[in-house]
Amino acid sequence: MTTPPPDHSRRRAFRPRWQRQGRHPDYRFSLANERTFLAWIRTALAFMAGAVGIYQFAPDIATPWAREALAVMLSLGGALLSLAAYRRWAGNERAMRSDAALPYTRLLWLLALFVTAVAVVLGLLLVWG
Amino acid sequence: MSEPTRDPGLQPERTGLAWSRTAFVTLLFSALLLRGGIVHHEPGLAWAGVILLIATGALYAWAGWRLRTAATSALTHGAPVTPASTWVIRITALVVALVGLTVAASVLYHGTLLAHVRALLS
Repeated sequence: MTTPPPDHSRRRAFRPRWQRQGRHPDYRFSLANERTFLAWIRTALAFMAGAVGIYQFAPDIATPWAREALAVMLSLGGALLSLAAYRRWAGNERAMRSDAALPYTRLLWLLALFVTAVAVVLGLLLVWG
Repeated sequence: MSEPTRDPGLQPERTGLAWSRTAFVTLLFSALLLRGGIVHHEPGLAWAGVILLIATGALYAWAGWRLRTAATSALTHGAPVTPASTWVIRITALVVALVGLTVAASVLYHGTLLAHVRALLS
């Protein structure tokens, strides 16, 4: 199950270099990694949907510039999260190919901090805005 | 020795469903972008919605394909990370990031935030 299949050289040319090193991990781990990537992508999409929602569909919250600041924060956060999702997917896959430990990530900690900041700002806006 | 025909952990099914769940989220978000962009006259948002709608179709097609091939070939080949799946993952991340940047740019361009910051600084 972990031996690489015979690769045609033409197809191999399209593979990133790290995918030609090491050996294929158990397919179940690769699929789990793919689902984790998708979960991050959906989180990023939820941030952006929140941005559009606050920006356009909640005109009674606070002054326009404060809503816009929150929307910019959320949509940029979502964009960064999407790129981080790819980085993390590739990092995990690379680690599994060489039997290394999965890279430790501060991403969850940063995400919690970010969501807390957004919630606090939104709460302040609801009270005083 | 009989060849296993089904993964007891249902990994391929769960992965295919994760893709179609993601496609459903992009479908909802593109509807939100299209409505916001058209009703509030922000072409940037509307275009981001169009791109995301196209991406939604591609994601659903990929989800179905992934569900079928991953279920049958993952067990025999043992390598679900193909060049095609690598590119789909890259393009997905890139499109989502670009949509996020477009939303931020549209908010800054049509909104009053930049003018407000400029007034504070001067």
